[in-house]
Amino acid sequence: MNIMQDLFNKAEINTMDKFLDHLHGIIFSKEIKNIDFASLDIIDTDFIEEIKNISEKVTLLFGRSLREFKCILTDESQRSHEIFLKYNEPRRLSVSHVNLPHSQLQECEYSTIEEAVLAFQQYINSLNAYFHELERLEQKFTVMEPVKPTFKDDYRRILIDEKTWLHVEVTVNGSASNIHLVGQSELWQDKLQARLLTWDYDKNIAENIVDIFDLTKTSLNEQLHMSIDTINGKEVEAPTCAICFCVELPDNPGIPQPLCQNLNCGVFFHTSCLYQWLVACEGGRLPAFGVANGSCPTCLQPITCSEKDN
Amino acid sequence: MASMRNARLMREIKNLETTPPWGITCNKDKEESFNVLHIKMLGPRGSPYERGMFDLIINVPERYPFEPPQVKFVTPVYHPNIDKGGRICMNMLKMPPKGSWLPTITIETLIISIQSLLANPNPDDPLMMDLAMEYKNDTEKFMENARKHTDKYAV
Repeated sequence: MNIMQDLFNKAEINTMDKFLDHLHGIIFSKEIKNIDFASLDIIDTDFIEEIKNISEKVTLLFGRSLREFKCILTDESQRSHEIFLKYNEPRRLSVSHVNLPHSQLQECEYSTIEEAVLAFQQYINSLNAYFHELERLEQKFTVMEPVKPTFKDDYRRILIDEKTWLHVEVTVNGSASNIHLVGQSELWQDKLQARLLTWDYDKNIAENIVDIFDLTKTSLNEQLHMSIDTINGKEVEAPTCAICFCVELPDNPGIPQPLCQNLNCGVFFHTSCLYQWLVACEGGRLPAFGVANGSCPTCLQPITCSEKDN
Repeated sequence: MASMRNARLMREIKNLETTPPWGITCNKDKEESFNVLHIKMLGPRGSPYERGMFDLIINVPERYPFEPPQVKFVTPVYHPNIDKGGRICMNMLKMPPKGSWLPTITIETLIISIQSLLANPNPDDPLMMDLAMEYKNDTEKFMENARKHTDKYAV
């Protein structure tokens, strides 16, 4: 404040233009620039008062400062949802993170916590079908992607058999969209094409998928046992990779190859699996020219591996 | 990347459940799916841990199998290479060049190795200095203490 007083008292400043010039100079001078506004004694009493009087239905948890906090809301089925809010300046709150499908609400600014909570509570209530469908999918099937699914992710990739996944997106009103197979399998592809038109909208997504592919609990288990048999060496058709124990991966086009130069070793690896291991051995540093060196994970002899299949 | 981790873990866990090695049972955490495994392990025969049933918890990192899993004893163990918090000092649990973790090692081989570490302590790379000294200098007393400790906590 002293700076401002000096500014007013200076005799040479007698026009508005000069005043603004000086003010501009002060604002951009070093002293002012380095002031952390958090250290100024600005206390937003309205905000503090609101935190004190927040309704009992909402749980507030604070981070390192009062500026960042999360609200925990519950929906009709007692799921809890977290909304991370950030206090920018008085009466301006923004949303920093939320585990819900993307919506306009995330981009808005809110003047009070209550306003934000109210908006999100309504949104969450409208998403009940969406949550329900995703939960059913997770219960019924093995979800391969996302690795840690949350309600933010509106898709699930579920396991159909060891080489095939099904990609399903769920819209905010709880219906399925963009259903397609990941991986090459004509059998499943034919079934999907033949029966997709018989989709029963009275049933939930998980049940419809079971109907389309004739998947019952037992057949899913049988498929798993089949793949176990192949690793136990009973019915091995193609050699499996010694790192991921698979032959083919839905998102990896290569097949395992005997990459070790040591003729007595003869273990098969996916190029991508071996490359990732050699990079991990170097603490994650990427090698020059995309060629990693190290030792074979099986026989410990020197081995080289390039990033891409030759 | 994520896909191969889960595909591999699924096979490993199914294999552990269908053909478990001697004295080992595996339960995966329902909520955590593939990230946390609960293991029950019988103490090796002919060792002072013989009558004990030991609980272990395995945290599988996101980068598995390019990073070793973190294994901890939940049950207290009287052993030169296992500290009071259940941490295990074993080469196989560390990344090279310090340790000897390899992506070809499975969770099954890891648990079997821990089981045999119980029977064969490594006093030259100890976590508990006092127990290592006792094991080196007065093996009989160590065995006796280990047996009592096992009876107290793991039976």
